[in-house]
Amino acid sequence: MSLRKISSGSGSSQPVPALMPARVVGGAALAESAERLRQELPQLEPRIRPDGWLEIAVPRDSLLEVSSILRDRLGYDYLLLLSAVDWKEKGFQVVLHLQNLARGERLIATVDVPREDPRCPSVVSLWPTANWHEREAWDLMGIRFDGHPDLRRILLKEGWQGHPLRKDYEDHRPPRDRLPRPVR
Amino acid sequence: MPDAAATVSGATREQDGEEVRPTAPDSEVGDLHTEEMMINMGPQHPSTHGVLRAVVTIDGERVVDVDSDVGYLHRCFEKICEKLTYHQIIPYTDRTDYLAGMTNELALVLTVEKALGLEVPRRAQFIRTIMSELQRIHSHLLWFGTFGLDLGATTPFLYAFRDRETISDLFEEITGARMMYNYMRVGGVRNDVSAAWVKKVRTFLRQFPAALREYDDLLTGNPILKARTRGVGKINARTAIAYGASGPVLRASGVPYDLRKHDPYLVYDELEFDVAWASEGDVLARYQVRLEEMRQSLRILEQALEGLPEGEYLGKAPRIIKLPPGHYYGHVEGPRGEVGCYIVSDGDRKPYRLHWRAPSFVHLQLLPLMARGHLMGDMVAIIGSIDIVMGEVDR
Repeated sequence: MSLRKISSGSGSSQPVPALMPARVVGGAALAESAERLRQELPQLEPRIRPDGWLEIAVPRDSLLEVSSILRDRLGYDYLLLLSAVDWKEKGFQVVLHLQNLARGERLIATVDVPREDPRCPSVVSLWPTANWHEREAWDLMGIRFDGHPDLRRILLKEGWQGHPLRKDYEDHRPPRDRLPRPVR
Repeated sequence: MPDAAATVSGATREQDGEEVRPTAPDSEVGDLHTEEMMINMGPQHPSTHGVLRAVVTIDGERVVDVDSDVGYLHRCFEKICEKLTYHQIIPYTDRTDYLAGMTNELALVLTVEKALGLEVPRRAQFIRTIMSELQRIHSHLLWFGTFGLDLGATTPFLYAFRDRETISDLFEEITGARMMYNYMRVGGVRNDVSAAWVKKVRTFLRQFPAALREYDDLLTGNPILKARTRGVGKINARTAIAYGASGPVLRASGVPYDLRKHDPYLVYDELEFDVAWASEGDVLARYQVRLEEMRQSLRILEQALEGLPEGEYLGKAPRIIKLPPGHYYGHVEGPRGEVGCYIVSDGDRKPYRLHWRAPSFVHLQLLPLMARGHLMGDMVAIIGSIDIVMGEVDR
């Protein structure tokens, strides 16, 4: 891979990158990374997806435990995205997209969250980037993240009723007055 | 939006537990008692690039903490997408990051194509590559101009807009629009490019290196720029990764991660270009990485124009698109970083759920870390160096 180092002439710049990311893996290497995952986390069944991602379903109670193994022992240091899906009567699902930059491995971790108790452990202590993603999931989907340092609404204003991305969300705001179209 | 007093989360604020008020002039000279003070920056402030409201806690002139208040432009993009078919979503993606419509559309159509297993004609792939790179230069030029403005240099803005205008015209000729293109289609692109247009792009490629040299003369070598940017807003590689940074912000911190190399899409693995990176992680490094990226985009464009094959520009795609049930994630390297599109499908014509990974949303979290300990005036340089687009943060 060709790189172009830019130096602003301070002299203290390192000649090598702090971390050299690897190209994303596929094929046989993917099976290997699934095997590594199986060794560290034997209770979870990793699935190899056709698009080159691994997928695991993590029980809610062990999310923090599993996440710290994922980050510290398996090197998934890069949280791309944390999102939430409303599966109606089947409850919610929190989805984490993770990447191991140095090895190029990618992993989707899903956590099922029951509808009547929409709580999920927060992973901010492991991946600080989760902070705003979790605030967004709370704001729009109404999932409480236990242990989040500052769980406020982020996109909607304080005091908004309900969580709009839920499938059963109803907009209770009164209809807006529309001015009649000017007659030309 | 919450009021200012309720939003500040700095530890120092909570400790003293009393209302913070501006320091009143003391009657006794000598007893220089200082207190932390909170000031509002934005939402209507030219340097906050849209409607970002930053509640800044300062101690004298030094920034102690920053609390970004976002959401002024929120329009529930993701909820709207649940009501639209995949084709109807394409113009909406233009409006998330309104300075990089092409790469946003690309993130969506690549995800849909991957889910369908669709082959895209080679000519369409080359056109998409050309458009993506023109878009990168287009977006970086706007960033360059406004970054200069933020630091008080007015002239580079005019130069950058002169050249940005050329690309806007190129886009307009093919897509009919200068900002909201609605150009990518599942299976290809909407319109073919003509030989005359290709010639115009070549002319631009010939002229632009001279413009880049002009920028260097105007701004890069400027001692004021160096003094205001070197060592300001430093982020090391570990922090950048932990905070999910991508694009120029991550690359300027010593991690040469570029999706065009590390998860190649379109025809990027056939083209030669370097990944620009720096290890300082400060505002200057981000500035230089973006300038170098424009040079690399020129290289890509030259090769892509050279290799542009004849053929179809829009392949065969189903008229009614239904993705197989499941979830799909696709991403591209936008001008600001990784643009990701997460689609959950239940087999219907519309996505069951669509989540947009906006690089600016992720990068804005780094603002307090970058700004802490710096002067209030440096805040402007730091916000400029992240290159945020609020349309994408708030979605």
